[in-house]
Amino acid sequence: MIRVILKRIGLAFLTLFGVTVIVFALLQMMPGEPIDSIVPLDASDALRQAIIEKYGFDKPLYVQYFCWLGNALRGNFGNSVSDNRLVLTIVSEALHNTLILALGASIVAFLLSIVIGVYSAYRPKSILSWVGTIFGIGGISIPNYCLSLILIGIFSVTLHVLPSNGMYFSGDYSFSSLLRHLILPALAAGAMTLGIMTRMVRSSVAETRNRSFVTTLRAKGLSEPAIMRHVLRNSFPTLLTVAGLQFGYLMGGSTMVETIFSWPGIGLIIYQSIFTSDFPTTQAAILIVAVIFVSINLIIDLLRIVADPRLRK
Amino acid sequence: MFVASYAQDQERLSEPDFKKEARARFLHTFAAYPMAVPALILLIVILLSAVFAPALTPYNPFDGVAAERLQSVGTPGHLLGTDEQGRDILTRCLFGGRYSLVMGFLPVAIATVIGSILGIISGYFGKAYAQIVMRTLDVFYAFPSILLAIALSSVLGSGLSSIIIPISVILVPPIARVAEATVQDIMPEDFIEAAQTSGAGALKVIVFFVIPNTFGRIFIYCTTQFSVSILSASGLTFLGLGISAPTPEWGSMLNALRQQIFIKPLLTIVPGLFIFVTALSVNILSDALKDALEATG
Repeated sequence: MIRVILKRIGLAFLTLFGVTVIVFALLQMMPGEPIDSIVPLDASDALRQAIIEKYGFDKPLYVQYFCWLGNALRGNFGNSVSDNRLVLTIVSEALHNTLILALGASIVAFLLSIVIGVYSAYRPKSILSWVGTIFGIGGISIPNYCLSLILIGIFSVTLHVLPSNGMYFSGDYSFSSLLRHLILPALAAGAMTLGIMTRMVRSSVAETRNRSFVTTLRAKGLSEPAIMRHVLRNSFPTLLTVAGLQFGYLMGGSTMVETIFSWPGIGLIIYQSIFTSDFPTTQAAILIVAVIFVSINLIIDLLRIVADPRLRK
Repeated sequence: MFVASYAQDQERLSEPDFKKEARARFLHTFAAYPMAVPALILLIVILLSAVFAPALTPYNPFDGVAAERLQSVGTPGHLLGTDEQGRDILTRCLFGGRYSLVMGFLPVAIATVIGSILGIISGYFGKAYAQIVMRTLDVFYAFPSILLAIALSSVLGSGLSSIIIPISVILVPPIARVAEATVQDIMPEDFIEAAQTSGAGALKVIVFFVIPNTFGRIFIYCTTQFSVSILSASGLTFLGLGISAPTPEWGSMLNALRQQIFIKPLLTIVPGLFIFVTALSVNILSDALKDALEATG
């Protein structure tokens, strides 16, 4: 088991190495030269050359890569081009806000999908199963940016019950203020997760129920709730994987929702930094999201190894 | 007597009949899937209305009438209202389908070809080759896909290719994974070994035995990616990437109209509903196809 775990951790580091290469490559491919944001346009060629040498832009690419990597590992991403604050500060604040949104979205989506999914796997002809089908197919088909606008249209514009942007009412930093701002974006961001998870839970539980060991348990006279416990225990690893992946997506994939609701999270930061050509912020944000994503996948895989003895070989 | 019944059996099981029966069962299961037929019809209507857009509407998608700005949904003459520049929204949505459908379909087609080739070769040869390809693709799994698409698209600048390339890139890894797993499943089968021992080269075995026996499952998976493609592509244009202002396209139309949400909420979401309905139809179709393929075996 230790070997399997070490191997999986090694693989995660290999992936992270690949991630840094991709982010660095993206940075190189960005339109415009990075020195143009440092050197004044009317600077003399000699000054320009001096600055190029000072910042190491004349060095070979691989040297630049390792310098950049070294800085990134120490959390040094430089200052934001647009407001000169430390990129690390901006990104970690945004990360905190995105975490709130992702938790809100996943709590709703996970709970609903597990209840609906398990129930409809057991009662395929019930009304709730029908609701599950609609949530399932609707959730994976509706663009979250369209759902955001629909929710704003209904709850903010027409009914005037929930706010449509920001995280707090001005001057009111209470929990209830946060909660009221969280509801709409969390629903919009969580809809896709709800759809995917409902389908997943239902098919996984339904499939496990058809396995022969369930028939054996029933033949041996086990009570239905006890059988259900075995069924859930067997579908658990699959569900854990999907849930982990979905949480990862919510941590990094809610750009449109955050943009519409002006939720000051990592997605909004990425959106703004791209349109203001704030390269240091863009790359730091993308890199950190990728690191979080890889870590979540790693944790999930390790949990699976612990939960599923078959994976320990 | 025996000879006669043998001949009858032969007749009954002759290949064209068997194929016909399989096809009938396929169509029956497909049509029996809830909403499959309406979804198919809807998708065909959306497709045709995009192709024949100029013949279907008296308006030009680029010219607005300033005096008729932001007319409500249901206004006579403007069934789905007009946008912030007084242009007919239905017209723009019909023309917009041309871009949005291409942006939904093309990346799937490109990624299916590349992903299948990578996946089938890894699945067939296994070992070192599979390790290299699959571990490289794992790196792409390290990013939430939409984020990778946003980053790539912003690097590629503007134009249709700055949408199509990023979406293709994010679709390749999952398709390759499914293709690899599908091929690995059939590799232990006797017919593969039989083909190999009778002297067929790798290319021949892949083309004549591996692909025909895995194509169905890979294809079904690819159809599920169509909605991912159209939602992500329109998401990029919604953020203002790739397609510039006057071009009618569902995502960018939604982006332009979103400022009006506080004045005309219903009007604002119209282009979004086109994206939703298209994705919904495709997802229902792909579920129905999956059922039908499983029933046919």
